Amino acid sequence: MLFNSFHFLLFFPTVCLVYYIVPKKLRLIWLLVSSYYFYLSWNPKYIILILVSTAITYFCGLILDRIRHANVDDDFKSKMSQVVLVIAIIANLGMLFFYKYFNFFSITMSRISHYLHLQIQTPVYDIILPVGISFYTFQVIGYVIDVYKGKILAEKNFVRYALFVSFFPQLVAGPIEKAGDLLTQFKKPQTANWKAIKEGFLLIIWGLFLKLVIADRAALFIDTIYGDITQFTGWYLIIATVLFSIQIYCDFCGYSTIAIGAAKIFGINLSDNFDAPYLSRSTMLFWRRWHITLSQWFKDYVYIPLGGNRRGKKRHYLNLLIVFLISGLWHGAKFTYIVWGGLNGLFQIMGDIMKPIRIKTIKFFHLHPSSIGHRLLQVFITFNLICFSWIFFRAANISQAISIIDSIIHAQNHWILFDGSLYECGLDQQNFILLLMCICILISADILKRRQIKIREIIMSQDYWFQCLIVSLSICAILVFGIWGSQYDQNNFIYFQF
Amino acid sequence: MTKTILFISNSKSIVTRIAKVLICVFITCIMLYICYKVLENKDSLAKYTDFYQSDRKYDVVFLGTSHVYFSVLPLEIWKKYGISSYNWGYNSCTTAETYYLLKEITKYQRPKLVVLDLYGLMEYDKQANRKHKETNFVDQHIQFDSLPLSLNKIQAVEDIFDDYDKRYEFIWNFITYHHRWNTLTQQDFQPKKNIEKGASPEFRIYRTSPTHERILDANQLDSVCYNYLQLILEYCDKNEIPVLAIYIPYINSKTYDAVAATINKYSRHRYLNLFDYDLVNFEVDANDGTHLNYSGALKISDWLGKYIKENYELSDYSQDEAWNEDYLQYSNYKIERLKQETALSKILLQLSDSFFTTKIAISSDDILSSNKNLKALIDNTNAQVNVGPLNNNICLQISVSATSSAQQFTHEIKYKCTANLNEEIDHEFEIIQ
Repeated sequence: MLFNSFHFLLFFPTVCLVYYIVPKKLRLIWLLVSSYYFYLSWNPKYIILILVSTAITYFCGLILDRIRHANVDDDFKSKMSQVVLVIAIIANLGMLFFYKYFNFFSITMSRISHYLHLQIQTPVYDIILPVGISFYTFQVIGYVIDVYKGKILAEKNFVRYALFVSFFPQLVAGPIEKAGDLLTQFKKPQTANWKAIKEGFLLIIWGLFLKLVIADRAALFIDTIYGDITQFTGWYLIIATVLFSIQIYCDFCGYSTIAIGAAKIFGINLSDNFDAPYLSRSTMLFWRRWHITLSQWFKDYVYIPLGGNRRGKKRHYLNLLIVFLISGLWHGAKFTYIVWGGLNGLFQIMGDIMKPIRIKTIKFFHLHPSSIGHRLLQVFITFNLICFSWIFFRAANISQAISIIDSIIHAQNHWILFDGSLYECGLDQQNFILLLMCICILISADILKRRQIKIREIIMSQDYWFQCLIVSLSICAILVFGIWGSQYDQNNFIYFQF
Repeated sequence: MTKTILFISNSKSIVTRIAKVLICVFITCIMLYICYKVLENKDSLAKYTDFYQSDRKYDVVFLGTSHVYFSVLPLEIWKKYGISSYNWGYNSCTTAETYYLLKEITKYQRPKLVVLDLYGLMEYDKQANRKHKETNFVDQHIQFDSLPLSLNKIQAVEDIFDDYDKRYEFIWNFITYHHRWNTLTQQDFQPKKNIEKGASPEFRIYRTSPTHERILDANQLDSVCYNYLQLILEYCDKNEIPVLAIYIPYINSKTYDAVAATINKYSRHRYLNLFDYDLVNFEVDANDGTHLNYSGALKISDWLGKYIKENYELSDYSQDEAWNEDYLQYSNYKIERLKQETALSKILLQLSDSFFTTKIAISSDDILSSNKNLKALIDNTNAQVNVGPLNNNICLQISVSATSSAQQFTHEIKYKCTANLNEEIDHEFEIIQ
C-alpha cells in the first residue's frame, strides 16, 4: 500500500477515525492491528519475518533485563548479556543477510572463484526482498543494544513493543526510531490534539507535493536519459544527475514527511529525517542532515563502538570509511552502492585532511567565510560532490557509472540547453518549467527551515479562511500537477527497495 | 456545575471543529470540481450534449461502431425525410458497451426505433471474448465521459472493465484528464457541440478489390458480444422499441448473416444486410479497409432514411424550428468545410452532396481519360462537366454554388497540373490560391 495510492486514501482516514472513537486503552491495539494490515498489503507471507524479529528481540530484551537484576556475579552477567545480545543481532542480521545479500554474496563468490580458476558452485535463490526489512531490523537491533547498555529498560508489554517495530507510518522506509523515544510515547496516553492533527495534515500535504509533483515528475526525465546513455550523452546526463539528486531527496523526504505527519495525527512524534541537506557547506554537514536517523544509528551502534574519532586520525578515517561502506551496502546489494558509500566516506576524509589548507587559503587571500558568496560557493561545491556520488547510486552497474562520468567529463553538447532538446526527453516545456518552479519552492522552504522559520506554524496562525484556502489550493495543485493516474505507472518510493 | 459547563464547552468546541473541517472539505470539493470540469476532455460532451437537451425528441437512435459514426448522417436524413435521429456510434464500441448506452439513452428519450450496427459482434472478441476493445481507452472515454454518474454507469463500468484502476477512471475521469493542464484550448472553456448530431464522416479514398464473406453457420455466433446482442433485443422488445439490426457495407467485409435468425425471432425486430442492396461504389466510397467515406455516408444515409420512412411510423419533423435551425448551422458548416479544403479528392467527395451545385471545367480530354480515379470522382458528383481551354495554366476549375439561409454561396477553385497525370490525384493537381 503506497502512501500515494487510493488504498491508503481509504485506509488512513479509517484508521484515524476509529483511533479517536475507541477507548484510549484500545488505541495501541488498534494501531497494531492497522500496522499489520498495512504490512500484509505489501507481502502477506513475510509477516512471519517481522513477527519472528519482534518476538526474538522482545524476549531477548526481557532476558537482558532479568540478567541485569539477577543475583549472580558481574562477570557471568556480562558474558550472558553478551551471548543474548549476539543471538539477537545475529538472528536479525541473519534474516537481513539471507533476504537481501545472499544472492549478491553468492554471485560475488562465484565470480571470485571463477577469477581464481576454482570450481566453487554457489547457490542462487529466487528471493523477494521483504519490504522494510532493512529499517525494522536496524530499529530492533538498536533496541536490544540500548537495553544491553542499560540506556532503557526492556519493554514488558508485547503489544507496545510489537507496535514499536511495526508502526505503519515508519515501517517500510523509516525514520528509524530510537526505542527510548518511541516506546515512551506509546506509554503516554494519546489525547486528541487539534493543533497536532492540523500540523500532521499539513505535513502530509507537503510530503505528497514533494513526491507526486517534484520527485515523480523529475523521474520522467531521468528515466528517459538514464535508460539510454548511448543516445543521451554529455549535458543530458549532467541535467539528469542534478535532477536525480532532487528526485531522491524529494522522494525520500516526501515519504518521511508523510510518515511524520501521519504519526503526528495519532499524537506520536517521529524524528525529523532531513534538515535541508543540500544547503550544507560540507559533506560532513550533509550527512548530519540527510537521512538523519540512519546516520545517527550508524554513529551510535557502529562508529562510536569502533572508537569514533578518539583513537587517532588514521583510526578515525578508517572508522568513517567502514561506516560509509556499510551504509552503502545497507542501501542495496550492489557494488554501485558500496562505491557510493565509499565515495561519501572519502569526501569526508578528504574534507578533514584539506581543512588546514582551506584555513590557510582563506587567511592568505583574506576571504570572508561568513559572506554569502563564500557560503554559496561551499554549498555549490558540496552539492556537486554529492551529485557525483549519486551517479553510482542511480547507475545500473559500475561500468555504466564510469561511462556516465566519462560522458559528463567530455560533455560538449551545450546547445541542448537552448534548442529545446531537453523538452523531448519525457517532459515537455511546460512540465519542465513547472518542475523548475517547484524546485524553487523547495529551495525556499529549505532556506526558511534553516532559519528556523516554520511555514506550517505561520499558516496555522492565520485566520480560518486563509488556512482553508491554502489547504484547498494545495490539494487541488497536487491532484492537478501530480504525476499519478492511468497514464503513469504508480511510482514506488525509491527507498522502499532498501 | 463546573463539570457540566466544561462538558458543554468541549462539545461546542468539537462541533465547531467538525463544522470547520466539513466547510474546508466542501470548499476543496468545489475547487476540485472546477478543476475537473475545466480539465475534462470535451470530446464526449461535444458529441452528446445535443442529445441531453430535454426539449428535443429523437425518434431514431443509431448505435454501434465507427461504421455508424462515419456513415450515418442524421441531418441529411432529416433534410430529405423529416426524421429526427441521433448518431451514438463510436470507434470500437462493442455490443456490450452499446447495451449499457442504450439503457442510458432510454432514460432520456423514448426512441421509436433503434438502428443497431452489427460490425464487431465477433471481431472485437474473437480471441479474448472481451467486452471492450483493448485500446488506449480513448474511445471508451468518448462513449462514457458524458454519461452522468448513475447506477447504470456504475454497472456498465463494473461489467465491462475487469481492471479496478480502469473502473475508477471511468467513474471519475479526473484520474485520466488531470494532466491536461498544459494542453488546454478554447474548446475546454467554450466547448463547441458536434453540429452533425453525433456523426463524423471522413474524406479519404481507398481503393482495392472488394471482398465480402457471409457466415451462415449459427455455431460461429459464439461470443460475449453476441450475448449482449440478445440482451439488447430483449430489452428493446420489453420496452416496445423495434430494433433494425444492420450491416453497413465496407470494402473487405465479413458479415454474420446467421444472426438474422436470432433477430427475426422477435416480431418487432428486423435484420438487414445492406450489402444486398448494392448501395455503394467502392471506386469512390471507401475511406479505408473498414469504413465508408462521406460519399458513401450520403448514399447509406439516403437509403436508410427512405427505408425507415417507408417501414416505420415516425413523426415528421421537417417543419420543426429547432431542426431547421440545426440544419442552417450544418449548411454553413458544410460551406466552411469546403472553403477550407484544398485537396482535390476531398473537395470532389464533398461535392457528391446534392446540397452543392457543381460545374467542372477541364482544359483537355486527356486529363479525364488518363485518370480513371478522377473520372470516377467527378462522375460521383453529378457535376456538369465542360471540356475546353482555360486561362493561364489552369487545367481544372470547379464552380460551386449552394443556398444557405438568405444568402447564395458561390465558390471557385482552380487547379494546375503539376506533372504527368497518374492515379494520385492530390499530388498531380495543385490548387491555385
